[in-house]
Amino acid sequence: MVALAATALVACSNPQKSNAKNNAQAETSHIARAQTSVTTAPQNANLSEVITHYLHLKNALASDNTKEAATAGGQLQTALADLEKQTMTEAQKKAYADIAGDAEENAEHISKNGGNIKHQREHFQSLSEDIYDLAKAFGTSQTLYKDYCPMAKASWLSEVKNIKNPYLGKSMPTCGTVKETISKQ
Amino acid sequence: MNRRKTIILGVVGVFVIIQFIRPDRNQSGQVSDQSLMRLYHTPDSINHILQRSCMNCHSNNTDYPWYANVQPFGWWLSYHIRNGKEELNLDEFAGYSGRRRISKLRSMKDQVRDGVMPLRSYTWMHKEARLSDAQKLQLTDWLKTTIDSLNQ
Repeated sequence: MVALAATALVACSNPQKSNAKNNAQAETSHIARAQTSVTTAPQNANLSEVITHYLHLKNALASDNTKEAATAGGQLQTALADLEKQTMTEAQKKAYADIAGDAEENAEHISKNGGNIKHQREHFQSLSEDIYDLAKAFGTSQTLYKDYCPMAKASWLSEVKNIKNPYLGKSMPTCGTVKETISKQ
Repeated sequence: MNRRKTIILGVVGVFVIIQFIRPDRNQSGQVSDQSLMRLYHTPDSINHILQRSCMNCHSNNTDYPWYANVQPFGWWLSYHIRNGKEELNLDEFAGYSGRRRISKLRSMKDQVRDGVMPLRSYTWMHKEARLSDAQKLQLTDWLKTTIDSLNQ
């Protein structure tokens, strides 16, 4: 009881700091749960729409096609929002709540910036991390490769083993290596 | 002649009438405890830059210029502030998820580096908000360090 009161006091004296700490704890537990869900739980929710549009976007950026990337970004944004309508396990719900808002925002920026491929690629970096985490939490119906390019200092997901760099496009199409294989399940 | 008079009178009339349609002010009047500055304990030099060049549109407190009282300029400002806060609100930064914070910091870094922000249409009227190359570097360096520390 005394300890409780003491923590409450400390929390009051520095509200913002303790907030940040709680958030951080909540996040790590999200990640932990998301990872366990890969091995457990039957998957009702299906990420394939999201993956399809993400890969479409990735390939558009790899071939320097900013208009096509904008289209794919818009479709991806819709697919991400639609995912919520599906039945999810508790762990998936948590992962979705943590990731989807950021992913949708990134997709939206990409869809609104047709003509500005540099800006599209900036958002694609954060987006790729989001989609990777989603794929980990939801599982994937096709095998994916996580690639990393040290020149762009960024990673992305691909459906093929061969490197097609979406950050540098045609100027440096093969920069990067496969860092991880996410097997279908 | 008569027709010309009516038109001029009409225009003046509309101008007078729109002066009474005033958008709500973005002035919470409070120091936010959810701000980026409190969250990351930003150094004074960075506070200073954020305050002068970013926070009129990206916070809950705008320091309005005189022309905000003249419509339609006030409407135009209000529109910009609404959009600005939607994209990034430095007074509510602690409320973003960890993932979103990193995304936002990255966007800030890229846009400041590329000179997209602060908006040219804004710095044209507000010389004090312009960032020198040294200030840009200072801000982007701080952002980079913060992003790296969050990524660990």
